[in-house]
This record gives sequence, C-alpha cells and structure tokens, in this order.
Amino acid sequence: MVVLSMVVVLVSWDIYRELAYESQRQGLVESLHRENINTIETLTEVSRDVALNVQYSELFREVFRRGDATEIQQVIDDQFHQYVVTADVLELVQFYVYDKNFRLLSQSSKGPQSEDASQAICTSLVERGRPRTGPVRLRIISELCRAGDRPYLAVIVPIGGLRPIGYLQIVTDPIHNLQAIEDKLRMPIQLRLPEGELVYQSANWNLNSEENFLMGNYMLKTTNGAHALKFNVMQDVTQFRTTLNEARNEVMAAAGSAALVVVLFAIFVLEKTTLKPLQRLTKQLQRVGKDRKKLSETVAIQGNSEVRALASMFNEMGTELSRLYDRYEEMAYIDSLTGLPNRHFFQDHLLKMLVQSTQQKQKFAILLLDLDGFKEINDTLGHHVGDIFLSHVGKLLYKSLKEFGIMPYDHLNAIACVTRSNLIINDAMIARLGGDEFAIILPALKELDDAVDAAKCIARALDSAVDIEGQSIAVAGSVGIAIYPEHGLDTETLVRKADIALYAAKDVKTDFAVYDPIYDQNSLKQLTLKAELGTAISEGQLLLHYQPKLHIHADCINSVEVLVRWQHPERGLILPDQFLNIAEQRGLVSRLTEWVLKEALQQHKRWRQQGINLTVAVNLSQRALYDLHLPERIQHFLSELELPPDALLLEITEDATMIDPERALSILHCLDEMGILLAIDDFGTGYSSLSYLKRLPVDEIKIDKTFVLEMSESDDDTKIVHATIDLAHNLGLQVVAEGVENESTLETLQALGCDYAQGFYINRPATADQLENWLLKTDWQCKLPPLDSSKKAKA
Amino acid sequence: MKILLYWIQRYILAMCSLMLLPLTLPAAELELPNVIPGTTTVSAEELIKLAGKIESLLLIDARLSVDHTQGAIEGSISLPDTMTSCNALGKFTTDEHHPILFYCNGPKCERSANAVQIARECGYQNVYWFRGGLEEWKKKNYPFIRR
Repeated sequence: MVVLSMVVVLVSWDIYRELAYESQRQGLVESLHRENINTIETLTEVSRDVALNVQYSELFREVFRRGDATEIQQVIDDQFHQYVVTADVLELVQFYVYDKNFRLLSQSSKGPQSEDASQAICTSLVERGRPRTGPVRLRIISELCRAGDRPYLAVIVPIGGLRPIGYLQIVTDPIHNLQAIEDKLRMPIQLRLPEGELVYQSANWNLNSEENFLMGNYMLKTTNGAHALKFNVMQDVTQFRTTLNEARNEVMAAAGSAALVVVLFAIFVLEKTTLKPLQRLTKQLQRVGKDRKKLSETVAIQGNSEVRALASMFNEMGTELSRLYDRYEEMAYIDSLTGLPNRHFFQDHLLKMLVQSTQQKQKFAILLLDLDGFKEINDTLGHHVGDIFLSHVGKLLYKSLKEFGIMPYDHLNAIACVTRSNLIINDAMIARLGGDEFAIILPALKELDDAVDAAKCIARALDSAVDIEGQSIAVAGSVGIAIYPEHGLDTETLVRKADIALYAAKDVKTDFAVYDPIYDQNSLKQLTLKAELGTAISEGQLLLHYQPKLHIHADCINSVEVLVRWQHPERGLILPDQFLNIAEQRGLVSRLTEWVLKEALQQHKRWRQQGINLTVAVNLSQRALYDLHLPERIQHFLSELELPPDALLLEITEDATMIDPERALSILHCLDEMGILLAIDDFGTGYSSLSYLKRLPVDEIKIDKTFVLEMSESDDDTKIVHATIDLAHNLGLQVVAEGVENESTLETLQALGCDYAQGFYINRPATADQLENWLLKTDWQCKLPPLDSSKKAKA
Repeated sequence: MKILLYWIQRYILAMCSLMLLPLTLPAAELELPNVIPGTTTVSAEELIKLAGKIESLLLIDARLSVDHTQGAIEGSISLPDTMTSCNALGKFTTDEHHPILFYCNGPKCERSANAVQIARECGYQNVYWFRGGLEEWKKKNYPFIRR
C-alpha cells in the first residue's frame, strides 16, 4: 500500500511536472505578450509626443506655411540629430509631411527608404487617415506595420491644432525598444523576423544548456494581423526544477506516511471490529462443541453493526438451543402422556434412593401398580379415552398419596412446566413405567404398614368411577409392594420382587400384596406360562375336552360344551383359569379363540361323518366377543368345513355384553342372522335386567351351577331355578342347567320343564375319544336324529 | 483559539464595512451636473466644430497653470478658476456676447464649472462648457500640447 502510493506519486509526478512546465511556459508567453503591448504602447506615446512637438515648433510651422519641400525636409532631418543621439527613447526611421488632404509634401532624407517615395512605410495608415471628415480628422492614429521584411511603428498627428492644415507621420523602429524586454524579464531573448532571420539575440543566449531552460515564444503581429516579429525567450528553470524535485520527494514521503497510517488504522479497525469478535464467536463454538451446557452462555461482543447483529443472533440461537436441549433432556425423563416421571427417571431415582438409604440406614418402599381391565378400555372405547384415563390415574395417584400425606394434591396441575426437579418431592416419586403400569417410591419408611396404608389409599382412589367424554369408567388395580432393604439390595431385585408381589395380588384378585418369598414359585410359574402360551398354541399343546349336555325331553345327548386344556409337556394338564388371564395379558385371546373354534368344528365334522350329531358349544371370552372380525371368521370356518350354522353354539356371559352393549349387540345380531346359536352362560350371577336380556338375540340360557348345586338342599334355589325356567320359556328361550351332580337334581329339573342338563352326573368333560366311547355305552345316546334345537322353538 | 479570534475579527470588520458603505456612496457622487443653467455643454467634437466655426472662440483652461504645461488643447489660454474674475476675463474680452469655452481635467474637475459660474455672473452670454475636459480629449486621441 505504502509502496503503491509512492509509485502513484512518482508516476503522476511526471504528468504534474509536464503540467507545471506547461503552466510556466504559458506564464512566460503571457509576460512576453504583456511586455510587447506595453512597449509598443509606450513607443506609440513617445512617437506621438515627438511628432506633436515637431509640428508645434515655430520653425516647422513657418516652413510648412511656406510649403517648400526642401525646407521642410531640412527641419525634419534635424529631428534625427536631436533624438536618436541624445535620448535613447526611440529610433527614428522616417518623417512624412502631408497637406490636409494627405498629399505628401515632404519626407526626411535620413530614413532608409528616403529616396523611394513608393517604398513609403506604413502607407496603410495614411489610407486610413485620408477619408476622415469632420472633427475625427483631428484624431491621432497609429499602426504597427511591415515594410520590406521589418516591423515599423507609425503615428500620424494633425498639424495646426484645432484647425488642421496638414499631417505629420513619424515612423520608428520598434526592435530598438523591444530589445529592452530582456532587461524587464531578466531573461535572454532572441528576436527573429517571421521568415527566420535573426535580428537580435541576448549576449547570454545559451543553447547548450537547454535542458535547464524553459523556452517561450511569442509572435508580435501588425495592426492588420500579419506576423511582424518572433520572440524567443529562455527561462532558467534550474531552481524551479530543484524546487519541483524537492516537492516531489516531500509529497512522496507524505503519501507514503499517510498510506502507512491509513493501512495501520484499517488493520486496527478491522481487528477491533471484525476479526476479534469473529475469533471470540469461533472460540465459543468450540467450547459449545466440547460441552453443550455452555450453549446458554452469551458472548458480549463489540464491533461493527454486522458483527454485533451476528453475535446477537448467535447468542439467541445459543439460548434457544440450550433451552431446547434442556427440554429434550427433560422429555427423556418424563412421560409425555401423564407428565409423570418415566421408567428411565424412575430407575435413576431408585438408584439414588438405594445409595442414600444405605448411607442413612433408612427403609423405603416401591409400589408397582397395574390396572385391571385397562386393555378393554383401550379396545372398546379407543386409545384416546384410554390415554385420558391414564393421565387421570396419574392425578388420582397424587391425590391418594396426598391423603397419605406425601404429595400435594393438585401437584400436577399446579406446576406449569414439569421438570425433573419438581417431580420429586421429599424423595417420593410417582412414575409411569409404561402401558397401565405405574410405580411409586415411598421414602423414609418407618414400618411396613405405612406402605400397606399407601397401597390401600391407592386402591380406594381407583375405586371411584371417572367420567371421561360421557363414559363412566372404573377399573380396579393391583399393587405389589417391595421394601428396601428386606426384599432386595439392588434396583433390579427390588423391582422384580414388587412385580412378583403384583402378580400375586392379581392372582388372588386382591388390591395389593407385599412381597413374600412364597410367591416366587408361583410367580415364576406364571411367568414361564406367559412366555410359553404362544408356542403352546402353535405347537398344538392345547386340546379340547367336551362335556355333554343332556336333552332332558329327548333323554339323549345332542350337544357338548367345548372346554380348552393345555397339555403342558412338563407340568401336565393346565386348566383354562390358569392361562386365560395370560392369554388376555399377552393379547393371544383372538388366536386362542380361533384355534378353539376351528378345532371344535373339525371335531363336529368328524363326528358327523361317524353319524354322531353333536352341536358344539364354545365359550366366547369378553375380548373375543368384541372382535369385529369374529362373524366373518366363523363364516369362513363353516363354509370351509361345509357345516350348517347350527353346528355351533356360542356361550357368552352376561357381563361380557355390558362393557359396550351397543357393540356387543351388533355383533350378536350379526351372528344370529348367520344362524349361529347363542347362549347366555352363568345366568343369574350378573346384573343384567330382564329388559336388557330381551334385547339379546340368544337362543338359550344356562343357569349358573351355584343355583343348581344347592337345589337339593335349598327350596329357594329350586324356586329361583323354577322361575328362571318359566321366564325363559315365556321369552321363547331354552334353558340349560349346569352343575347337575345327582339323579334327584335331574329329576327335579325334568319336573320343572328344564330343557337341558349338564354336570358330573351326566358326564365329566372328556376328550373326543373318551366321549365317543362313553356315548357307545350310555343309555342317553340319541337313537333318532336330535330334535332341532331352539331355532324352531323360538320361531 | 487564535484562528477563532481571527475569524471573529474578520466578521466584525466585514460588518463595519457594510455599515460604512452607505456613507461612502455620496462621496463617490462627486461628478458635476451635465448642464449648468445659462451655458452650453459641449463634447470634444462639438468643441472642434465650434472652433472651426468661430475664429474668435476664447478657449480657457481653468486648471492651475502648472497643469496646463503638462498637456493642454492647442490654442487654449491658461486661466485657473482661482484667478478667474470679471476683471481677468475682461482682459481677454469685454464683449458680453463673445463666445467663451471653459474646460479642465474632466467631469470630476470643478474648476471649469466654477469658472463658467463666474463668467455667467460677470454677464457673459455665450458661455460654453466642455464638461468631459482633457480626459475625454485624450481618450478620443485628439492632439494636445506639452511644453
């Protein structure tokens, strides 16, 4: 930059120098012009004065009046002596004397062209003076003219004052006066005629050292505009040149330093306003890269407005990102549905509690809560309602524990934004582990009963029904309790033990259970069954048992109730009440139902082929009933096996239809229209009203065995059974009595007009083979094709 | 600080000059009137014509005699206004109708005007006044005499 500026000065200096010289030259020419004008003017005035004085002299007037040319010539010739010699003011060349009409009367003999009148000098001036008339004839006229090749100055003055009688022309040589310009300018000059002839040159004119001189020239012109004399002048510019060079060096030095200052200042400003702030931003980015927590740190930056805007955006972005990171971190620990801590957070806190309680030698409890029947809510009312219900449970838990004195009641409502810190209060925590599974940590436990009380509180709280979008929903829950340090010293063990206690509670259908080593066995069994059920269905470990139903009026067996059994390879035969729950928990109900239906119908077909006609009655679980695909699937099986619809009878419990009566009804109607027989199982144990019962498209009802078993001892039961039979018949339904264990009961039922009997007295549930054998031996074998059941009777 | 003082001074000076300007204007208006009642104002050309017409025209240079020697119209008589009186004029002519022309340096020169006034008071009837004077004369390149 500095060098560049100096180079610029150096280069531009040449131009400047040329300009300076040119300007100097113009100044020189200007001076020459001025001096020439002044000199000619002065000469004109002097010539005029000389001429006026000559014409005014008595002698001249005398001889002029006499008109003698020779006399006049003598007078004017005398003037040469007078002026040329004595005063060096002008160099006379010629006098001409005219009459008042400009006729030449005489001329001086001293002049160069004195002999030849035709060679008269500056005749053009005479031509100018002659035509004048009036007062202007008195005016003095002058002119610079050329005669031969030389310049002359001529002036004409009137003779005779106010009343002119003639004219006197004086001619002088201007070169004599113009030479004096060298003194006035103090420079050597050279005068040349326009044709080039040298007429004067200063003594100190020196062409050799021309480079130190500046040449100026000027052309003196005649009054008529012709070239008269060329002036050359030499100006010594040594001093000027030196001054110029010194000035150049100074300017270069100044430009260099100015550029240096500018460059340094620019660097300083750039450093201060841009580079430094950018470095700080970069450093902050590196720090943030190493540690995200530094995101929220703001960088104070000074600089130009662009950099400040960048820094401010950087800070805003940092703050926003830091907030988002915090939020995401919180979200990783919080269950979004309920706002409760999630499993991850629960584990963290549990570990913390373990360490803390070990140090402080304190007890604490973990309570695992699992809702019963939550799946039904989800399946029947939709996940949306299920979600609302779960979040409601979260609040219920807070409420219940508040009553227990641990948590503030509306804690979840009170906090605007849940964070990890505000979800733990006095080390207590309520968490949702997933699905319908919740966990509670009760810190600083004094005795076991405290945990039990808490569990009771929870159960009580869950007991109340909730209204969600117009649906009144209530579910029960089971709580499993494990205590530190009694039941485990690490998180995994504690949670497992609480889980075992939970299943124990579920098994015995109680509200809660505190862990007991006895449960281990059971729970282990339960867990393995849970794992194995899926394979059991696919690997054919399930089998069907059939219990015959005696048609009392026909006195023969024309239908069987199908009962599923699990032939476990290690544990032997397992009854459905031990694995149906598991099927529900594992979502295997639909597969199981499908298998049972298919197997039962195939068996029916086999029997049919052997000439045995037994309607198969399959129990439909609550979940299976709400499966919208059920009718379609049954239709598929029937047509596959080419069976009539009345080969199948479906048994459902009263309660099963109560969860979503509309949906149940629509499915049942659908099945009924297909021609499938329907029966109400365990009739008398539910709460269904008669009017409701009337709406169900069923063909028969099965009176619960509890009534039948007691019939022989209790008159009341007999009355109930009697009334039920009458009622059913009035509604056009057939009646099946279960739990028939002796002959007298069968006889009573027969007397009461009951249609079917089922129970150990007739036969226990048996395999297909056993049943076939039994049928061969029994008296109740149908000789005739069985009476067409219910449909016709009903119609 | 010095620069400030300098500019304040300049400002004050400029203000003062502006205020003084109206006072100086009348001073510049020293030119004489174009016409003096009872006399004829003439130009250089009219003077020449007059001289051509009237042989006996009395041409009086009203300036001091020393000025007269430095350059005067040929044929004029030097009679400074300070010396002008009826008596002095009477030496040249007593004829009240004799044409007399007065001039001096120029329009700003009061001498000729004074002399004209005196000539009028003395009763001269044909008084001419060359108001432009020698200034106009020389400017128009008319001849004059130095002694």
